[in-house]
Amino acid sequence: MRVSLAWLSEFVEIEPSVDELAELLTTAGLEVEGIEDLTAGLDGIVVGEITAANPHPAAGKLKVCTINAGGREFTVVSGAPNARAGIKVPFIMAGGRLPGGGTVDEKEIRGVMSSGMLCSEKELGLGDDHSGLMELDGHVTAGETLADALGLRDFAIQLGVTPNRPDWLGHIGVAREIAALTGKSVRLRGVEVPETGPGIESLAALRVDDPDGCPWYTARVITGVRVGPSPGWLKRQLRAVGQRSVNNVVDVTNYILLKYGQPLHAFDLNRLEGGKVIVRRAQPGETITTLDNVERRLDSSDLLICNAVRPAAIAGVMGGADSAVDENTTAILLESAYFDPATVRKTARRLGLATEASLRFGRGADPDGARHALDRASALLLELTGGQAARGVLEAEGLRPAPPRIRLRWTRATALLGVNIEPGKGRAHLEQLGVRSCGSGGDSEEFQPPSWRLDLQSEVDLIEEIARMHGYHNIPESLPPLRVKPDNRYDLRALGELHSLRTIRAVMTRNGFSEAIGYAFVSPRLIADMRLDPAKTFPVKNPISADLSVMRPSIAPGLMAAVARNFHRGERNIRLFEIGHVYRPTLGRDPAHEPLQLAGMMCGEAIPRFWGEKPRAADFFDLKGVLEEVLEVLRAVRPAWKRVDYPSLHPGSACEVTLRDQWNPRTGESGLRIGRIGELHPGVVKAFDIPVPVYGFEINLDAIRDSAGSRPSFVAPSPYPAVERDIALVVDESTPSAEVYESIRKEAGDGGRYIEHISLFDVYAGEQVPEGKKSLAFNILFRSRDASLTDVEVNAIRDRIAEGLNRRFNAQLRE
Amino acid sequence: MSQETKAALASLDELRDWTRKSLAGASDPAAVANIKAALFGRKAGKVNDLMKLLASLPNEEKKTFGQAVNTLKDELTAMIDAAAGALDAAARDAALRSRAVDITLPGRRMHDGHPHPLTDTLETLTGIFSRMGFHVRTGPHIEFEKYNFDLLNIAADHPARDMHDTFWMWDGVVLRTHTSPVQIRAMLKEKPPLRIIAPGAVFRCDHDATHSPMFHQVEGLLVDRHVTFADLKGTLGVFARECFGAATAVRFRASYFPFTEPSAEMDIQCVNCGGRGCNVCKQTGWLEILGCGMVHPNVLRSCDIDPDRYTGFAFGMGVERITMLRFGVNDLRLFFDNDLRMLRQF
Repeated sequence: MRVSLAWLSEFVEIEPSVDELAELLTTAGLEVEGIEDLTAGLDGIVVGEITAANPHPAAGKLKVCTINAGGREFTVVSGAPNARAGIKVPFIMAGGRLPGGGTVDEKEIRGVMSSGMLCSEKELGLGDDHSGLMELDGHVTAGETLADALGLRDFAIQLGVTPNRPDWLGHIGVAREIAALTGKSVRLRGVEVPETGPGIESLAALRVDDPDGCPWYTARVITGVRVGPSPGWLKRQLRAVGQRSVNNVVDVTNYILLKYGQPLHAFDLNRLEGGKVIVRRAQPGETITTLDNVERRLDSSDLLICNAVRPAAIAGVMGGADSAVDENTTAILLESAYFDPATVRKTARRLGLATEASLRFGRGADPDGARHALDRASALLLELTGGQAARGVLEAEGLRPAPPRIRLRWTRATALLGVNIEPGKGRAHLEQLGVRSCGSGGDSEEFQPPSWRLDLQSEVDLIEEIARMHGYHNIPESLPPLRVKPDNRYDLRALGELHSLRTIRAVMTRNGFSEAIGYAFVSPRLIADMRLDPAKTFPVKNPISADLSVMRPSIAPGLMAAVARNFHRGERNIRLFEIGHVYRPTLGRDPAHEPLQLAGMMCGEAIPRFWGEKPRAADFFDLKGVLEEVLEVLRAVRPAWKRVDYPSLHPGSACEVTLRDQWNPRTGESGLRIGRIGELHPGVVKAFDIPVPVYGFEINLDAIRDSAGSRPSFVAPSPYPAVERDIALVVDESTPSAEVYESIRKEAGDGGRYIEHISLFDVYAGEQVPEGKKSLAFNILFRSRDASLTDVEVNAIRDRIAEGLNRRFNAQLRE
Repeated sequence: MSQETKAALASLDELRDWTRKSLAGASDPAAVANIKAALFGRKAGKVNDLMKLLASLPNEEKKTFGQAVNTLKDELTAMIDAAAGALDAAARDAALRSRAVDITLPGRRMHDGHPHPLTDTLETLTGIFSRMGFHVRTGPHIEFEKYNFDLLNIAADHPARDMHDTFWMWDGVVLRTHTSPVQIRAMLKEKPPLRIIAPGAVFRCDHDATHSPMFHQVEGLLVDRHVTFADLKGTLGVFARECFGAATAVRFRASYFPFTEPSAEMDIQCVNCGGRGCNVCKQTGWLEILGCGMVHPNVLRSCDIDPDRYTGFAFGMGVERITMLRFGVNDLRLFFDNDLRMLRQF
């Protein structure tokens, strides 16, 4: 809402400066979003009195004028036909600027120095007249600024109006707020419409079929109308608040709308078939072509203003094209009504038609305001169009909403605000806002808000008004007593989540991964490029674009897109991770299942290039090491790594990660799948136009958190020395090393209890190893908790292990 | 003491001086070895020569002289060892120095990884409120319309729904437009006293330089006996001063949210210009930081909490906006582009 300060001043005396006013309104909840000095362009333009005007010695059409600009004299050459001694005109001295931006310079015109410029209306942007100099009233003073002389000093104030305050959508509503905040009162004039025409019933008839949708309808008829341009004051008034002037009829309805916040509609009476106004709901399949020349299909919930045969307007939203006022209109029917806000809102939303009218009716116009606005507009129309008002008013009144009586407990106000509210002061605050006291009893008092404040419905609404008037800055700061319960009731998850997320972030960042945050929705194309199943995504009903139209089933597509963007910007070592939710069909009460996942992706070199060392491309095992570390800090014990086929991943390294000590809650099978890791399928990588291998993993953190051991169980270190043995053995190339690794402890039998640690330190295939075989070398650390182990004891265990592995894997021991 | 003994003792001092001078002039281990030989050599050693003097001394003074010679021997040995040691150490250092590395070469690093700036802000915000006793709570992104709107006093045809450009999933289910439904979930599940903080992603159907279809909020709720608007001001004032600096001035402006009443917006003095007015604060000197208010009695009632027994306040703030202010990030879209050139700066 854009208001003019000068216009507001018609209704309330404004003492503060415009900046102070802005501060006052903003802190009271009517946010000032911007202030525009409407006379900024007129700076430096003053009233100049032409004291002498003589013909130019060298040019007959020009005059050499002597200008009095308040004690200083200037000589100006002018070509204006009306330049003559005795008149006062706008004057810009040399060095000044025209509102349009041009500068005025001192210059010689046919031998005479001219040190300024006398202006026409058009040159100053104050009107269209360019026939001569703008002649000012005689009572203005030479030297005074033009803005002051014309009373143009004005500011346009842009207001952010919250949806609870439709009264602020008109100047009078804003003036009322200013009055309340500054302790003034609002000046409003009464109005009388001279009814010199015939009785209205001979010209038009009204029938309201739906008093719920239209609780109050009023209309006047004005005949003998001459549609034409509006007078300057009206154009200026509208221009000040950013409205274009159309013609006198349209301008009057806009003027009244902006003044009272009451939308009006003018119908061309002669095009209102049968002179009938019928207010009813639309019939199925009915259509109307609105003012903007769009044919609208109507719905049975839409409220219409109809003539005898068809819809003439969508009530409170927009008029129809065929009954619109145009330059040929001679008789109008002017409507001022109160429509049900919910009805208007619903229709406006469904049709996507947000108009000045629908905004105000939709939030709730003043239910008592229609008649006054109608009369004010009619009086103005009579004045500006030369028409005659018909005698009487078409009126149909149903049940309009009325302000409730609200009981306010003064102790409650004090208890809620934390500052003592004395009844006398609180009452005064409310009365400033037009809220009436209806009598008190005991601690409480009854109040009734004015008709334009239907947002005040309950006690707490009144308390808020008292707080606003009291001033939020006058309420002290205090702290509530710290009554906190131990946070172990049900959402330990959330707390644990924060903690473990911090840990995961630390692991990922120290491994060179930077954190990404991606949109929760992605494009179906991205899903396809990742070779994921599009059937497993949820579409958003009203997406912002096709690129962001389905809820992501996995972090990977968005993260891959981020890797690609970085690659195409020239990055070569890319490591990104994201912790975020993905969206799956629901498992419980909530609308969807939204597990929290961790994904990591990387390409490029294993470590930053270092002088003196050969660069090494990162591979599957670099990424696997990171994931192992993550699982370890999450205490997700005994993960199993299983080769699988998965469309996004390279078939040679696609790997499923399970926690073997857990079981799948749905299938009951042992081994809970928590995610996948691998090199991305070359086809996928190619779809993103990346020419190097990319590795990635994604795991479900919820699954881990639900199943991971939460606390380390301590084992005291043994005081006895350790004994190491290496075992190298040759097995089939296809034998998974993990199987051999895990068999070592089993094959050790009783000796297994002495095995403190096993590490695989070499994998070798090639010379000295038969074709189709590989050599695995393990280092085993033995230690007893009770005594020093002897070589003999340890060798015996080592031999047992070797024999066992030989049996199990046909493994040859290498020396 | 006899003249002979005095002379003999004086010759000990001479020998000490000679040794000191000789060692001072010795520049390598061989020179030290020569000096050692000159002193202790079996044939012509100067120390052995001293012992020859013994015979010429009176008997009762022989013992004194002998002890003096032995002391001198120890002294000289120590001097020689020290000199040899110093030369050895110097030689070793010289050898080590010849293997010096260029210590200005860069160190060996892992790739550098950086947390997202929004994470940093989220942690900061939740940290501040955690210290004030607020517990973290979460809720789903795909949310019931009922929790996102209706129970928050925003009925289906409420004009305030126009303030939210809502993404719809299916009938009765939306992408949550704010973190406020977490309030509802918490109040339905737990009973007062309640102090919760709910960080998370929210969604609005709007996309340009100042609007992102997804962004983050931190929501807070406190419900207890006797909670006042003054408590709200105090609690959020502490937050502002902890987050933006101890000298940060705040102001509370009246505002409107359907789920709070009285409602307010909290501004802080512009962090860029200190309140003098600049482009960041649009010349107002103030920056809007969060919306807040006393929980509306209708909201408490819809969660089965008696508004006459309990009162509370709620607040919500935009994480992106605060991050932009903290780090001077100027374009919202950068947060979701995941450009490494941006991420590396945090």
